[in-house]
Amino acid sequence: MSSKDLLETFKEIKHYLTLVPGVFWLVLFLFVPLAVMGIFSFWEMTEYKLIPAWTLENYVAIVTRRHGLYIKLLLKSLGMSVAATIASIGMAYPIAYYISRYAGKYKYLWINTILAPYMISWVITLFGWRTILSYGGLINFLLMKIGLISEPIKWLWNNWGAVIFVLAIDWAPWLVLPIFVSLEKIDESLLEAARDLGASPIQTFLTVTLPLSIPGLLLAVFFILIPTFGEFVAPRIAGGSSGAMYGMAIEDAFSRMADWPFGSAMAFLLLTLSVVIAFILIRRVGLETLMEAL
Amino acid sequence: MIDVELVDVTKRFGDVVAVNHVSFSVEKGEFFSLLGPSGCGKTTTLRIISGFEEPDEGEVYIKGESMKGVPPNKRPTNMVFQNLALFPHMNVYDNIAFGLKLKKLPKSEIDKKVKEVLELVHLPGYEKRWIKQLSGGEQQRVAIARALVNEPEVLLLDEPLGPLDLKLREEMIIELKRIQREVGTTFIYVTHDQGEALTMSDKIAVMNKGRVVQIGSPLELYERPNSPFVADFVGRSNLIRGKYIDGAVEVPGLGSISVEERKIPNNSEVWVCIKPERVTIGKKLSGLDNVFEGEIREVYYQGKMTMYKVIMPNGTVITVMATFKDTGTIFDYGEKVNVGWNVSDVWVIPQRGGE
Repeated sequence: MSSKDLLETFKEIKHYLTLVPGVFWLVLFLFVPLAVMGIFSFWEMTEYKLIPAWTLENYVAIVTRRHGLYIKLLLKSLGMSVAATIASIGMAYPIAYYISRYAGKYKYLWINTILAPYMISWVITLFGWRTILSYGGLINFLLMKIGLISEPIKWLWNNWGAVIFVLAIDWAPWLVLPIFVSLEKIDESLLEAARDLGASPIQTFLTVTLPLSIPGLLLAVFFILIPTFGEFVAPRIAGGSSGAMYGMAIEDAFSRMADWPFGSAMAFLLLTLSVVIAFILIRRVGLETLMEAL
Repeated sequence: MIDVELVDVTKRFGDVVAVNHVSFSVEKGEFFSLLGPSGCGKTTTLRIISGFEEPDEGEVYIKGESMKGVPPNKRPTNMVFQNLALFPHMNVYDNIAFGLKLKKLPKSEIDKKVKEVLELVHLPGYEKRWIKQLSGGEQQRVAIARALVNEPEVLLLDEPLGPLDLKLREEMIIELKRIQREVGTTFIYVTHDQGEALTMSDKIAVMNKGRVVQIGSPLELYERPNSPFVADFVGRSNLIRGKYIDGAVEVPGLGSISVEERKIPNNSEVWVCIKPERVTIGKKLSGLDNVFEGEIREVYYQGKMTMYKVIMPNGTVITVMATFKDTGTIFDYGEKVNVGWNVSDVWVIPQRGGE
């Protein structure tokens, strides 16, 4: 290798050197813990001691243990996340649309106001909803007071519907952001052009506004689908028996059952699925389009 | 037959009167231009015709029907937008077919019309291309095709040639005129460029400060402007102020400029308007109706023409455009020259209040 080649190589390496600090923290605080968890998932735990058994038993157990309860829970959680995603976008889109089109100079005041709920802890928000929706909560109290019902409605709380509801409503303000940004980027004259070519306001929305806001919508899906997939707080507080989610089972495995390898295996499966979903989303729309919405 | 008629249309934005009692009518098949400096209300006028703005006063009629309360999607007009407003998430075909699909035409008919209109704008086979892949001029043509394919009664064009470079613009001017001749649709064209307007239009309405100041053919506007504003905006003019007395204008410090006999009261203030290219310049001129002496202050050789600024004894500066062929030489700074013209080269504009 001549000295000139060496210099070129060094220049190339120098390029990558700038990545070192970022990669360092990522490795230390993300990959190391995950790798430890990944290793544990192949071990065994007997009498509160971890034994490096190198077995696939824990993964098999997800499907077989308790008649496939855990794998069913996983699929149900995915279904609930998807439902929460759809419901949440359903709430966020009209808000984002309203702010973008009609809020005028108050746009950013609106955006800030909408994010205000995040100043309160998620657990407190959940208990807040409990005081409103539960058996002895505000809604039942009021409905009974005005005589519309004679005994409290039970299905408002402690079931899967309640979990989807609280997840959707909690995430909605956050989802307003990417949708709002993608709506803001749509040139007003495109909407006028559609109108000029004969589209009614609704047709204009369906043919121009909605397709052009898809990057924001997909980013919103990203924001909510993956975190809610592993959710364990909301089902614990609002879910009752029908609203249990996979995330709860992971937590149980680590705490109550003290079966770390089984918990690790469940967590690792969840992680893998999330990565696959993220990958499919990125492949479908392209990273560039997603970044555009930011 | 009148296609579009505006009657006493006024539009205010807050305290600003954008369009001030504007009336005009456009004949079927005419290439009609709204010409004026930026902020003169020409674009607002176009948006009133297309239905994007409702006038505060007055009425718009298209084919004799009042357009009051008719939304843009229900009007027999289509618009070519200033920024073209092509849909970025659709290819050329879908852009052009947009209006036809809304009309629920059968697929085969849409295909045929898209193909025909692409041929009209000289972009055959471009159906599958994405907007991003097109050059500025091609995008221009797609925008025109997208509007024309709907066979509007009136095509509205809002300075669509603005972003193009000079050479492409000159090409598109010729293209637009050809397309308009071929389809025979009424065009209403908004521009601040007098060259574009003069080249393409059958009729031009010159606007200033929200008002229409003169309507006429390109020839009328250029040769017979009714105000100093039009004289200067449409092709620049030498404007000399004086008093009209019996077929001549007395200019203090310069002398008498003979003009055509007009029905103007004697001793009234008038503007004498002479186009720079109508002025003859030479060392010693004879055989012209008017000859004055002056001194060259500025010389700009532009190739095709040379522009001279000649200062007269009374301080008036006369701009002259002359070809090399006219003068046989390029005059130099400070040279004493004669400038002259015939009566037929001069136009008199009576002065009205405020001008």
